[in-house]
Amino acid sequence: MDVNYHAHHTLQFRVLSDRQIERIVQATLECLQRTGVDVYHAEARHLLASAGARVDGVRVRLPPHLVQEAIAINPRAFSVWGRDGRHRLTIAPDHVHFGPGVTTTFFVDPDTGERRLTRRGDPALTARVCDALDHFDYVMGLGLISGVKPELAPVYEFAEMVANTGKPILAWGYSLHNMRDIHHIAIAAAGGEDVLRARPLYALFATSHPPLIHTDAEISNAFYAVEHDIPVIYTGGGSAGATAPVTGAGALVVSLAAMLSGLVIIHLKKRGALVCPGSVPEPVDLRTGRPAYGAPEMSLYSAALCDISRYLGLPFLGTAGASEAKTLDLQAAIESTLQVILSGFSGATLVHDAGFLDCAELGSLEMLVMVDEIIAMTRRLMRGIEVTDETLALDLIDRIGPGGEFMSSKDTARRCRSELWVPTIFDRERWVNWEAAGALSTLDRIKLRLRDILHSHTPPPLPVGAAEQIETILREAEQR
Amino acid sequence: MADVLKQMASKLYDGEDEAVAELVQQALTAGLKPADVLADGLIAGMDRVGRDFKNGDLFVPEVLIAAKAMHAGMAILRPLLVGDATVARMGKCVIGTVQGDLHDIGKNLVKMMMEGAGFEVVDLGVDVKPEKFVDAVRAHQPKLVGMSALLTTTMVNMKTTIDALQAAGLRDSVKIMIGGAPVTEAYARQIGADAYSADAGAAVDAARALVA
Repeated sequence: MDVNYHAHHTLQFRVLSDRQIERIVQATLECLQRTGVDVYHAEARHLLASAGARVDGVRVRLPPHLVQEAIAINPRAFSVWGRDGRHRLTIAPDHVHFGPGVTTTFFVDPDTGERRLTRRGDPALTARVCDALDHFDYVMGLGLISGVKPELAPVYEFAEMVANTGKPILAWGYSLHNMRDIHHIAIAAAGGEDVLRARPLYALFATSHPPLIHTDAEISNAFYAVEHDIPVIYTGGGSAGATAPVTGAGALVVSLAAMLSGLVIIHLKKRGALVCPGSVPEPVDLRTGRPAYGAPEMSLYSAALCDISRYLGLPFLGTAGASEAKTLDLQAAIESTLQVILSGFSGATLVHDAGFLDCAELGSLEMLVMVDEIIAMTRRLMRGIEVTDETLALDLIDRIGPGGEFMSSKDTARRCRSELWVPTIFDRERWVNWEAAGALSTLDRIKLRLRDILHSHTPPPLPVGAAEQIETILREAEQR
Repeated sequence: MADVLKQMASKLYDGEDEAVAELVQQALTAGLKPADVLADGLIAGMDRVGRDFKNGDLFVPEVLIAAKAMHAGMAILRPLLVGDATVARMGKCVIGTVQGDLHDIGKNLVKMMMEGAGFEVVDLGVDVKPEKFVDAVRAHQPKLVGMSALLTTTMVNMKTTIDALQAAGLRDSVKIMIGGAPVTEAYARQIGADAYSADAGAAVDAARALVA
């Protein structure tokens, strides 16, 4: 959804001034020209050299005009489609979409509540839960499957997701083999190569290696994607204090330099490719050296990068709904809430990583259910206040008058659902009613809602024959 | 003809008071019995409202405009229903916020919901002295008395009012319901009220049970 009513900008949230943004952009262009980036992909280096970059071994220094051109030719808006035909991501600044995280080693078992290794079936559950939750707009796998050939984990993950949601998917891969398998699974799920090309039902999630390195595998995957008209999410990154300067501004430069040089490389491969840059600029807790998703700086820097992206006319992948807490507790709720609100207000296009506990090590379906409610509240805030003759309600106020009540007026009844947000999980009952209903805590209600979804939600079925085709693709991948 | 009643119930559910009044008139003109119009049109619609409200599917304002639509229909039917068993069974209720207390949102809510359920409600307003409750019970001979209070300092006047009804020899002629933020089930028992309700929806259920 959009931030704010179009004509009435109630909420105004920015981290950086225009002048600050311009200084950071200028500094980033200087960094790319002076320091450059390491590119471990031979074809990419060749493309960069041909376009005028200075290549010295793997080090590539980019002249500003290359970067400015890439920014200018990235499409202003593009779409990723759900296979259900209903859900569609508009990838453009200030269109905000929320989704889960990816590749946690551990998973909270939804039946026992135990922390265990992520295994087959977990991405399927994640997809089904996201499919059922109104405020999740796309799906990622949340957990990294163990117990299969490790190099095939992203393929199994994608196969499970596509069968269990009608919403758009963000996929990732270790290798070109993975990319081909994933793409063929997507063709089966879409019902044909032409259908998929016209309406990509997934985007590739590719990441640079901070600070300032583009790996062979990730660039290969990105090249495969754009050759097949699949949009690419390409993240920069750099943890303040570890893989980036400890200063916020310095960390922003490192993130932005990786994002924009990635953008250049992808557009040199295919001019006008569909790219959404992003970054997870979590700082490091320098008491331990561990990254801190729940840190306020993570959301502050994300919002700043969002300001910069909007200024450049680019979409942005942000982060929210992730905590260092070990269980779904108060810390998890507080950190998630802060992140979701700031992501929403800053207008981040794709907000990912919901469901992370323990520093992206532990995936929690219950956390997705909780974050759904937080997103719902945040969206109400993002909508702001509609100010029109009708909503000012002067005639109604005059009719009811001093000492009257507005609760039984038709105007109230007609608008009560659209105007005032109501929770689905949070409790607002009177004590006696709450007690009579079993005196449930918020966590109890989250668990009940999750159980209800897992028992009763049915995602839209795959096209006839698709499941068999996907099985064949997986079998052939195993035999390779 | 069942169509008119079905439509009436549905318009009532949607809170269309003018449409309901028109349909009641239409049904009567077509020769339907007032008691059937009440039972199969208005009350049928209001029962659906009550059920959906209890399930959390309807919001209070939606219930209230439905109650107003019920009221609009009843305004036409009531004169024709004098002595009718259905109406007599539901009966009258005298309601008010007790002495010293000016809060009436909850009381008004209960009033509208009770009217929606078919009760005839005599509203004494706010800051109602015990003598005024006594006079009203004597004059209207209701089956129910409803009292509301928002403050711990005024809720004691619920007991004063019950004592006044006792002294006037009227206590046993009525069932007494109380409610309001500080009021509890235990307090109701302690002062000798017949029922406590936590909210307006529950008040209607309690009222129905008391007159059954």
